Amino acid sequence: MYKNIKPHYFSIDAIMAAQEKIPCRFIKKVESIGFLDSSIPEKEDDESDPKIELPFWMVKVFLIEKSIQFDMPKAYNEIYRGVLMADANVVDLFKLCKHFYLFGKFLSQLEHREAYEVRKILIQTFIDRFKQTMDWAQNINDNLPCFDRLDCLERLIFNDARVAQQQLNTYLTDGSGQMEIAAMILNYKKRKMNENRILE
Amino acid sequence: MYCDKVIELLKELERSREDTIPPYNNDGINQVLSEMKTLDTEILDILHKNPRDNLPMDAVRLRRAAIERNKRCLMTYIWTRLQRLKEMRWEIGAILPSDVRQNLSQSEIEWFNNYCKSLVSYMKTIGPDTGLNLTQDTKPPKSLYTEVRSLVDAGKLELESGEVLILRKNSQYMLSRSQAEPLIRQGILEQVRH
Repeated sequence: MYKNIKPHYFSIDAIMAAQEKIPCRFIKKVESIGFLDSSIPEKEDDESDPKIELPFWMVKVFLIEKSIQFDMPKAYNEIYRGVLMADANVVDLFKLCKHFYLFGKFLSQLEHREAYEVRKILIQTFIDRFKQTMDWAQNINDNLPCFDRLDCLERLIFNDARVAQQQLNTYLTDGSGQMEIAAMILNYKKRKMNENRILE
Repeated sequence: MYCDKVIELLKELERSREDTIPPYNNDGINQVLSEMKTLDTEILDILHKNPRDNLPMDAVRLRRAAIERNKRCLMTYIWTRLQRLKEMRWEIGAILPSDVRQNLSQSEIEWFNNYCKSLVSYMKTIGPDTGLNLTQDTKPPKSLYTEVRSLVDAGKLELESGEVLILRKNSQYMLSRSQAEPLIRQGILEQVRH
């Protein structure tokens, strides 16, 4: 379970998180990259100062030479930090930023004056929301409305918690040693049935 | 912008359910590969055009990062698919349903066959002389025999003793656990609960 959550080289979540956009502006003139800013046509090179949005991994490249300055994206700016601090449970994290924790972690590793605050808010948000996530996972049968509000990492935890809860329930009612149809085949059969119904 | 195509590939994979394998997107992968080649020639161009002591390092670094990222994403695409395929070997067994097989690329089928071979030859080397089937008894057994109900008209089943049993829908049988388990996992039989 842990291996799914920790970002590694082949982790799709980590790749997607590094694809999130960051608002930034160039403070030096940089040659041969004018095409990045598609909103300004017929422009040879990026002049100093126009604001553009670049994905995280590009920003990281430009930070090596310090030719760029970035602001914290919306989900991590001062206003939202205040909201999260006040009550993290009411925020729809998925809408705010799909990979809230992972992207936040990447951001806080960059050199920025607000990095420390971001790091703090990430941990606090997770602690505040964790209890609610577990509560939902263990007690609600029809989970869709609240599931939609969870960030990717929380979804993984939520699903694991649900499976564990179901296993416990089966053990309590049926005891151990029951042999069951493989989950993959069960889903495969359900899909087939559905396809057949559509065909008819 | 750079890497958009490869991100599309990964999104396609992410959107699909975890227990399925979407069709292998050969076109998409070729497009990404050609993007990487273009990037490479662009880097060489920049290096040739500019004097050695005044290189636009940011431009070069950006393209290099894009190549690295494309590579990482492509490898992730293949790796994720292989992980799912591997799981299928354990869940479904060595024979894949035909619509899964259709979605695989040639090298993926080769990989799957090799994986099956390695698994079988490993299982032969462990345990008492005939080897040990690792896919059996994934949960600790409580009895040697178990009562099962057939869910489909599956036809003939040859028992370990040599007898032949004909499985009919909705009838119940007493089978040895080791023989019933793979059939239960495939959804042909169902264990009768008391």
